[in-house]
Amino acid sequence: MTEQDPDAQPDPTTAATTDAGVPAQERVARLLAAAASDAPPLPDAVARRLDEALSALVAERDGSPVAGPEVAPVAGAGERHEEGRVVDLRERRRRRWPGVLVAAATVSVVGLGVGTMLGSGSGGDSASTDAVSTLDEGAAGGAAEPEAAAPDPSVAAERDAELDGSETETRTQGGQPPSPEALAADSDASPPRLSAASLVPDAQRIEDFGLAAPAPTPRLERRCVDTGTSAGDTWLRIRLDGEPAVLVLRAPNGGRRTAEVFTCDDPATSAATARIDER
Amino acid sequence: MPEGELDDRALLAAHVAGDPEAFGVLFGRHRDRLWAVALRTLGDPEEAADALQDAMISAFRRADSYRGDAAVTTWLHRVVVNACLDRVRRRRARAAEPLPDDLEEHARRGALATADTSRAGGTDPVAAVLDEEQRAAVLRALGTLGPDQRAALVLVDMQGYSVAEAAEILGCAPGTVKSRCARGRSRLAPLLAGLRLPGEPPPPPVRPTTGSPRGGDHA
Repeated sequence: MTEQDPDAQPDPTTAATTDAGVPAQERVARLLAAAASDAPPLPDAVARRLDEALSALVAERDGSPVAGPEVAPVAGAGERHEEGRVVDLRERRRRRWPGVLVAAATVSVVGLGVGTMLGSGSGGDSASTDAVSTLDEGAAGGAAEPEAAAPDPSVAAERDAELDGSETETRTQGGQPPSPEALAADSDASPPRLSAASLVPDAQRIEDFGLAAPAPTPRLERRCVDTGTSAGDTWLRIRLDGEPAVLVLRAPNGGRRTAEVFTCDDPATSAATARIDER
Repeated sequence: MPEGELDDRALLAAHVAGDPEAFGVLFGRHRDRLWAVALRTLGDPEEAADALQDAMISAFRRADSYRGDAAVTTWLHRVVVNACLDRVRRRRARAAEPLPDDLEEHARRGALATADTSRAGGTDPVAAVLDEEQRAAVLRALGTLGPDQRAALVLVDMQGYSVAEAAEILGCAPGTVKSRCARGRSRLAPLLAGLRLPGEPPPPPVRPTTGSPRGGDHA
């Protein structure tokens, strides 16, 4: 529905009357007022949820007096798009992209050199790992970089792979079964950072940008999620309040999805859940 | 001075200064009313809860952006209304899906409509059911409006804000609020034509017509 011209204009029905003689406008206003006369109190469940979120916010602030990287910046309160914790990840990735290319190339060269010196064939793998790390940690620097020319299509797939890390994982691990430590290290590399205190908008952001993969990669996700899954579920490695975790967006049902977060410490039980809208 | 004795501005300032309790006290003072606004605007308790939580988080984190040129409650309402409007727009943009037509179901779950058991138990149950149905019909009709008109009517007609206050909350001119209200009411008028105002006697029974159907216009 499109909004009418917001400028005040005479409304043809303002002076219309009903059979009862009450102007139509006033009648509607009175009906609306009557419908609102018994304002429902905040349900206990919602109150508890707000209290928990508030506690998490307070704890978060106490732990990091300066706004930390775990918390996506919020659009100005009182402005449009108030729910502005929704960060445009695509835009951020575009800003990071030039810096990423430079960093990846630099690390690749260094890694290749080191690999050659040591007689090891793993230099390229290390380079990829470091490049992914740079992707995650270099936001500030990347944001300051000028916009690049159109990215080379040949590297687009690699950039997209960075989103879920699956491709990078395969390269970095060289097919060897990873240790739990290595898995944790991997998860530290690049996944989106979510906060339990703002799981709903954070998970919604993931959903809106289609970042979750339709199937788990066979390593971290499966190890960290030990629960029934169904067709339509999507998966994404994340960090929840700094801890390695996996976000599972359950198959849409009635236009809504349930977002469940599993930590690797307890793969059988979701650490946090939220309900979000289907993209 | 205990937080509970501070006014809203002092609480917000204390929060910005690092007081861990201040925001909770402030939000607790107003959350019932903020909840009502979210619920009326969105028409869905789950969505309203999500929006209210979003707004609370946003207000908590962005409290330092409060400039003090409006009442703190106005600022909080603005945050909540914008969170709601964002949700409505996103929902509409995503699928152009119809607004929820299960408001009555929500109402029966006790969140939207409020002919609660205490009321029903104290008065004529038939009247309570009729009130309940009427309230559900009004809310259902409200849900057919666009988000801006709906928000304006929720604030002005349902929550009792003045046009000037609603304009502050919505971040627009008072004339725009008036226009949105007028147009929204105009759209609702035919949808609500069959409903009775509180205290209004029931319509007289319809008598069968005996004259010519074309005899309606008389000089």
